[in-house]
Formats: sequence, structure tokens, C-alpha cells
Amino acid sequence: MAAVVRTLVGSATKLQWQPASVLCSRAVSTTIPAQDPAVAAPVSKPKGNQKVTMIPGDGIGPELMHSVKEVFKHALVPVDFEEIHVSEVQDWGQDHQDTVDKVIQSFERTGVGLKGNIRTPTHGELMGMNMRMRRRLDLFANVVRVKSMAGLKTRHHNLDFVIIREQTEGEYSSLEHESVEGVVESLKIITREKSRRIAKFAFDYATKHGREKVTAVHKANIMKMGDGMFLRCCEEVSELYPRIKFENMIIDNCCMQLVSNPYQFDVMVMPNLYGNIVDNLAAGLVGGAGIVPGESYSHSYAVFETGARHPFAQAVGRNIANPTAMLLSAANMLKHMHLEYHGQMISDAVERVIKVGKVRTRDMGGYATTTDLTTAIIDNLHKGKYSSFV
Amino acid sequence: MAAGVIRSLSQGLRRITPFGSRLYSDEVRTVTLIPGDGIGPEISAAVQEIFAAASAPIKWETSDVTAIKGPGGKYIIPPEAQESMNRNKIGLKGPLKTPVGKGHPSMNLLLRKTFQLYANVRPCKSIEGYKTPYPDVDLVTIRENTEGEYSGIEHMIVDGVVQSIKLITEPASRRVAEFAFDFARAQGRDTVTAVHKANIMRMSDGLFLKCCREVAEDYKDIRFEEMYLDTVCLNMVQDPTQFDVLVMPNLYGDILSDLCAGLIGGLGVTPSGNIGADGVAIFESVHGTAPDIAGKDLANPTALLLSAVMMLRHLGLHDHARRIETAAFQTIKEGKALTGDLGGKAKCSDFTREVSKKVQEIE
Repeated sequence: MAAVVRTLVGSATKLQWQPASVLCSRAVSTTIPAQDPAVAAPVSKPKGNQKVTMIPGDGIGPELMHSVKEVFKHALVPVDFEEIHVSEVQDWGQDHQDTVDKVIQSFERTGVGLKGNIRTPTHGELMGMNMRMRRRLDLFANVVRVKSMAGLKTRHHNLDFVIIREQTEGEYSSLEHESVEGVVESLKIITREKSRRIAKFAFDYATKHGREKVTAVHKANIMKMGDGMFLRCCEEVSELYPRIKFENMIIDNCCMQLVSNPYQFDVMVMPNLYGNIVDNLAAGLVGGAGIVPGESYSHSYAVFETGARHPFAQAVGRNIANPTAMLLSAANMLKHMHLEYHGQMISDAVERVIKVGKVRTRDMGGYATTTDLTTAIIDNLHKGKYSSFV
Repeated sequence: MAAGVIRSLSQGLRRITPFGSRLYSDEVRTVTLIPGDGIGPEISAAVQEIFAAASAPIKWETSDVTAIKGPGGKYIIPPEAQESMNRNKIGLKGPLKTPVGKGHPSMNLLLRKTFQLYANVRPCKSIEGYKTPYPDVDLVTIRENTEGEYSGIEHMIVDGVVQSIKLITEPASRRVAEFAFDFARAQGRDTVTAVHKANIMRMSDGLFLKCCREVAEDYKDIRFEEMYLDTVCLNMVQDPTQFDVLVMPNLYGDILSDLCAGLIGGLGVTPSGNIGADGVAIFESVHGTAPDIAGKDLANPTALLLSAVMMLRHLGLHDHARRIETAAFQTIKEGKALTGDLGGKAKCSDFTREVSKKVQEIE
């Protein structure tokens, strides 16, 4: 145990540290700046394409996936998509309706996925499909990188923090029953094992990405046992990382601080429901649900999706959705798969289009359609430093 | 003159509305005043001074609610204070300090249990003169205050696994929904939005939502909307003007009401009211006792003052409420007598004097 601690502490000084114990190297993504010589155009073309599971989902999911496919086609990305259509509200007929089992099988083959949001209606089985998938794949950590985009006018500027949310337990355990008529009990489960796991993930992430502070968000003054245990686990894990500052904040104060002084946050770790609230709040701070990418990690799989997860059904068929979040997420996915060149090219193109600001969808204050924005991004694809590879 | 006639007519009409009006003549109402700890006594004195300057028909009955050990060993509110509140029905409370010690319950929790305060109302209105990145906020959050996630029922089932129970009951949900619609009607608001997470917690929030929908049927003049909690958070920080009255269960209410307080400038300027069974209503300031500035005449009485204004509106004294509120906002807007937390250097007494002067000038 002491040897493990020493190794972890000793390695924390190196920036490009691959944690060996809890997380396998595939499950934590790397961000490499464009100036790094490692992102030069690849010298050889891959023999075959890598496979990625794609779950379009409901609402604007299919439209966003279409954008992603178009951009990938024009960027010559060596990736093949295995599309799986699962939904609780749509019915594609007997032969075409897919199930969660099919999703799991596909993930076992590919290991990486791109996912749209599956709508969870208010009726039906107690546990929605999103949650079932996350439980079976054990996608315990949801990471949302909140970063202000140059060119977008928001009330707060130059924000840069990360929200890490435990997403397999907590309030989303779907254990509800009506004990007496008119009285419903819903159970919120917090376990020491999962709390420790997410805390360790958060500190490992902070170490890997050179972050200085981890803030645990909780409500331990009211839920003394549950959130109290979560907080204690975070404190225990923080002692293994002496170089990373640890502090904690109550969720209501955290929300107040996020709207008045969001610059004080660096990495935040929290249980499920608070993560949902803070994810959406933070997405609103930098420009909305159409801007922020997010990803979910388990020990063996990585799923890339948008940060604020809404099916946005009002926009279906109207070509007004903003594909930025999904494209940035797809770029992160490529970097995770060690296709840094293509990933960087796509994220650079997206950032350039937003910065120039001539093509903006409705949520960013403009009038462009989804297709307009996708076309603009495609036009900007091969304008980067290393565009000789075509 | 016509304006004056119309104003008094509309006030008369407002007094006829069933909720919120207790006065049909200019009789003096007695209100229980709980100064509280820390800066509590100073800001309570400030509020009393301003009310006297405005000639508000309010008589103050001060009482102390420091918990004492009752028969049976459990901590209770002193019987004199309980009697006073049950007699007067309306109370104004400053910040309370929970004594550190084993077994001592939270003071706010004790008050809530004693008077069955089931709804917490927090109107959030942007203050002109106190700049935040969010001007034009004008909404009210109504939060169910007795059950939900704060039931306090937790067990460790197995070592390392804790289960917290969130309780949602039909009578409590119905009661707070009815209050929300009554409030919206009395204050002339046009939309009530139920905030929930019924897509995830299908049975519990589903029950809350069902009760809200059923109550909405009886209030066809008020528009009823439902929105998921995450959507509300997302939209709130982008465009808070789209919200009017929000009603929600306990935990979401706690978080959202603090979020909205952050939008207008923090807990130092946010009023709050608690409605209980049997017509009891306690209005309070939600900030802390600030022991570091207690007794130094540096405190900001705005939160308690705005809560007192809320109390006047609840009593139907809309004219006095309007005058005091306008005086307070004008003082903050002028910026000459601001206390430290609002960015100025004035003392509490300066601020109070300025507001009292203005309230006498306003018609």
C-alpha cells in the first residue's frame, strides 16, 4: 500500500502521467496542443478504419450525427460507425428496433462511442434507457469541460473549469415505491466504493491535466450520512495527492458562486443530481447546451456526448440545432483514439468558425441553419498548419 | 386626482382578494419581532426606525426564540414566543445562530417544525443600483419546505452503503401547489412553472407533478407550465426574464432559490417569507449572523427590510410597502449611503436615516 502511495505521489509531478492502477490508459483522454510536433500529419494511412459505436438517440440526435458524419467524411477520418438505434419513444418496427443488449455487444467490440441523448419520458419503467446503459457499461464518471469559446459574447469571459460527476448511483437509483397511498418514497444511494472511485478519478484527472484544485460539492449539512460519506471519501483520497488543493462547498452556495464568481472553480467533483444541475448551469454560463462537449468514462469504455444532455425535441426537423457541442465531442473522441491529427483539425475548424462569427445558429444569436454551420466548418477543415495531408 | 382615485380603488380591489389580505381598515397590527443574533438586533432596530418614519400601522412585540429544553428533554421554542406568534400570526425574524453542541437542532428547523412552515417564498427582483451581470430579474421561487429530500431519514444499510429517503406526499404537494397559485393570483403574476425531475424520479416527482396539474385546473386564469430542473438551470443563467413564479419540491427549491439570490446580488439583499399552517407567516432575512461585524453599526439591513416589505404586502398594506421599497431602492441607486457589502463606506445608521428621509418624501 505504501509503495502504491509513493508511486502515485512521485508520479504526480510529471505532467504526462498515465495512471496504471485504477484507469486503463484508453479510458482517459489526452489533449495535445496543435503546435506540438506530434500532431503533424500521419506518415502512413491506416489499413482499415477504426470502428466506433454511434447511438443517434432521439430529438435532434440524428441531425447532429449527420453533421458529424459529413465532417468526418470531408476530413477523411479513418473511422466507421456502427449505428444502433435505441429509444423509449420511437418505434422502428419489429426488425429494426434495437435494444440495450445490442449496444453493450457493440461496445464490447469497439470500446468507444458517440451518443446522442435518448429521451426519458415521465412514464414507463422506473429506470430510463440512458441510465440502464450507463449502469451496464459502468460509465461511472461524466466529465464536462466548460470552456468559454472565443468570439461568443457571454456574461462571463474566459471560463475554464471541469465538472466531474458520478453518474451511476445517487438520486438516480430509480428505487421508488408507494408505501401508503399518496406517499412515495424515493431512495438515494451513496456507497463508499463508488464515492472513492469518483474522487480518485477526479484527482487523477486533475493531476494529468495540470489542474491545481479540486472542489467537492455536496449537501452534507442536511444529508449528514449520505453526502457526509461522499465528502469523507473525497477527503481521504485528497490526502494521497498533496500537490492538489482540496476544498468543499455546499451545492446552494456553489450555485450562487457560479453565477457571481465562476472564476474560482477548477475541477469540481460531485454526486449525480448536483452534477446534473451544475453541468447545465455551467453550460448556460458559456453559451448554452449547443456549445459544451462532455464525455463518460468507465474502466474499459469511453462514450462521447454533449455536456448538457437534452433531446431538444422542439428543434427536430427545423434544421436549427447547433452541432458545435457534438462536433467538439467527436473531435475529443478522435484524440482519445490517438487520431490526434484529425481531432485537432476538426476542433480548430469549429473554433475558427465560432471566432470569426459570421455563421451563427439561433442559440448563438444568429440565423444560420445546422447545415450552414456544418458547411462552414467543412470549408475551414483543411486550412490548418498541417493541411498537406490530403 | 383621477390617478389617486384609481389607485385607491385598485387597492380596495386587492384587499378583497382572499389571500394575503388581513386588513379592512387602518387598524394597527401587532407583529412578533425576533431580532436574532449577531447583527440581528441592529438591523431589526433599523427596520423599526424606517417603519416609524413611514407611519406604518405596525406594533412590534419582541420575543426571543433561543431554544430551551422542554419537558421530555427535547429542545423546544420557549412557550412565550410560541404564544406570541400564535396570537399575532405574523412574524419578522432576523438571523439566528444555531448553538454548537450535541443534540442541539438547527434553529430554523425547530421553527419550521413548531409552526408547520410548509412553503418558503423568495421573490428575486434585480436591484437598480446594485449591478450584477443579470439585470431584469423578476421572479418568485416557492419551495415546499417540510418533506422531500430533507426528511432526514437516512440509514447505513450495509457498511459503506447509505440510503437517504426522499419522501413526497400528496397532501403536502397539493398544499404548496395551492399556495403557489393563490400567491400568483394575489400578486398579479401570470405564469406558474412547476420544476421537477419526473423523467428520472418517475414516481416521486411524478406525484408532485400530478398534484400541480390537478390544482392548475382550478386556476384557469393562471398559465401553468412544467419544466425539468436542468432545463430551468440552463435557461435561468442565459435568460432569467422568461420565468415568473416557480414551484418545486424541497431540494430543488433550496438550490434554485439560492441560484436566483445569486443572480440579484446574494443573500444580503434577498427577502424571504415562510408560510405555515393556520395562517402563520414568518418573514426573515436568510443571511448569516455575521459575528465579525456585529455591534459595529456596519450591517446592511436591506434583506430584513425587503422581507418586512413582503410582510406588509402579505398584510394588504400595499401603499406602505410600495413607499418603503421605493425609498430603499432609490437610496441604493443614488449610492451615497451604501454599506460595506454593497460597495460603500456608510454606516448602518446612515443608510437607515437616508431611507427614512426618503420614505417621508415619497407620496
